[in-house]
Amino acid sequence: MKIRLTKAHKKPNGKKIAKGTIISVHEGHPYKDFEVVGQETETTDEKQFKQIKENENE
Amino acid sequence: MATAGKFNGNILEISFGGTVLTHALQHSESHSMSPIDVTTKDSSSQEEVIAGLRGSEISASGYFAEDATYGYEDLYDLYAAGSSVTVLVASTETGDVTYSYTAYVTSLSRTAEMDTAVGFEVSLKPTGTVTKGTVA
Repeated sequence: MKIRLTKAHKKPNGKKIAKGTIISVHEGHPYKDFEVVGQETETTDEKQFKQIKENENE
Repeated sequence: MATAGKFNGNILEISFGGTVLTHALQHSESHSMSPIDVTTKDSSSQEEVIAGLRGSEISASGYFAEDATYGYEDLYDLYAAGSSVTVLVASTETGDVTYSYTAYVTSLSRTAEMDTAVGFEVSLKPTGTVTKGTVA
């Protein structure tokens, strides 16, 4: 999923990731202050299915 | 819903400690087993083996960026410290199978060519068992 940091994050090497940065993460990520901005990506099949449905409705 | 049928490699991601590799271009996982030869005179000239050591290899490559959320510098820090990292290979689709490893960086290279974006490659050697799971 994609998250947006709501506070800056300090990495183990001391570098900071700025507040507002959008990061792709999986389970076990180290970020504490964030909001989810995207859950899943549509597969090609789902996109094609939607397109077919839209074309049928036109 | 789990992915159905063939799918684009773009949705299969590699993450280190939970953060997806920034500016990734490709990654690969390979698994191998070294069979133990137990062929004898009674084997009718056909090799006989039993299962031996199993092992895996992971590699990945991407473009280098100083401000990468997770990139070359983070991998270098793991290499320099001799630290292990949790590597998770997972798609972005709920229900798809994931593979999780504890691994060490065994090689890391960065290349800067004329008129080409700076890139890097990393290889990792997993230790212990590979854990299967599913994308929640």
